[in-house]
Amino acid sequence: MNRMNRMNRMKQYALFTGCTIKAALPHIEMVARKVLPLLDIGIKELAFTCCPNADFRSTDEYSWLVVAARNLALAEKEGLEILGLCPGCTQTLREANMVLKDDVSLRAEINKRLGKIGLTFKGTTEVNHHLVVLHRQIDILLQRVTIPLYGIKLAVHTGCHLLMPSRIMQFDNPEQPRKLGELVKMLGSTIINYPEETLCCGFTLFGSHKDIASRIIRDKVESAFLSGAEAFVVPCPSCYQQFDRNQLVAKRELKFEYQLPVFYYLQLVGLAMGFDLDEVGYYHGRVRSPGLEDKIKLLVKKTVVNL
Amino acid sequence: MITIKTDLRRKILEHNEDIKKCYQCSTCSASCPVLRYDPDFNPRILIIKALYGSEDTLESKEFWKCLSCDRCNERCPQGVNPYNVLLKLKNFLFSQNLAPKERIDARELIITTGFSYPISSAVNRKRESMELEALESIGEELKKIVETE
Repeated sequence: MNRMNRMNRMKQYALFTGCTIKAALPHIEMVARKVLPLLDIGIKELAFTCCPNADFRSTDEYSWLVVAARNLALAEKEGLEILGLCPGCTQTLREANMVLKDDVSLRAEINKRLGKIGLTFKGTTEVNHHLVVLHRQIDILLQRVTIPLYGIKLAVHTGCHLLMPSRIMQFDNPEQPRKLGELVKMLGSTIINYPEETLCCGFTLFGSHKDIASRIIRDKVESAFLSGAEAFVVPCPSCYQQFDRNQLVAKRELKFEYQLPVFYYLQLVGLAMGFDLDEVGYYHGRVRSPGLEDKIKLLVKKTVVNL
Repeated sequence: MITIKTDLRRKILEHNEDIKKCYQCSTCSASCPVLRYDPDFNPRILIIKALYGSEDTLESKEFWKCLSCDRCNERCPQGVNPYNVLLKLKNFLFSQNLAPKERIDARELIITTGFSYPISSAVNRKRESMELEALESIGEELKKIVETE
């Protein structure tokens, strides 16, 4: 299919990158911008602010809702659905969207605030993490895989906010998540089961209670490593940071033996579509595994047999 | 022993009707990743103290150890939503100027710049090297809608 046809067919979304990726992990934004349009997902940038995050919510839920409403109203104004790169942002925006669609008197109050900046929340947009969209159009993903990641053994960490609260996220079973694993298998890689799969990564406490957060990292890494994993795969920038930079800090402090690099899911998609490790931003990660890198470099193009 | 403070009990219950349904089964505690690593953080006990309006409820620093993972909400058989109860208590602490300084500063950063991370020239140089647009503060609008005075 030629490029123009594809551009016309492509559904456009308002990309909600989120602060963590924008400011701390820009290589993830880079890979998302590269890969999503190749999967027929059009993206547009709007003047979004912080979603806002759970820390902000812990100070004042009303303001949290006001700021989230502004973000939702911006997308509504453009007639676009929101596509999240971060489960935390996605959760905030989905919850605010649900509350404001449901509670009309609260909506009226919030709209008075939004009126000051010329915006209105009408309840016309939807919010989804990109994995939800990829899972819905799995055939497109399968078509684009040219270099299957055969033999790469991955520990899947879905994290918390893509799953819970399940009445809001409506994506997967929080007790036994399997969709990210399915998406990983679609790329040809192998997923390994490990005992601590559903344990939270502990990122939120890394700043304030490093001792707790570090022990969580140690248990996650040890459990995945001893189960045979070569890397983690995550859908979340906070989990990514926890398993990347923070893993090295935890390792130094607790002196554990093992280490595992981490991939954001779209980095793996990029590799399976033929980009190299550099092009998917792998080298911006702090935890490296030369053995795994060699294995990835040796992957070969899928043989296409036309019958 | 728990000393019950009626005023506080009333105030807490006003915004947390569901808390009355708690039958102290400990599902929240058993599900809590923080408690697994730090027994001082016990959601079940925080809930019963809040329910009684116990005086030391608000002095507790434990609230701020919550990872906000939502597992307790997900599993609570009574729909108490322990995470949301803690959130409301934290909101109350913030309104009384009792929130930790780092939370207040983090909130201020978002309202003034629009981002939860400080925007530095180093970040923008890195973004530029990846052909991504530079980040600029977009907080003015938030000030208008968040601060009502």
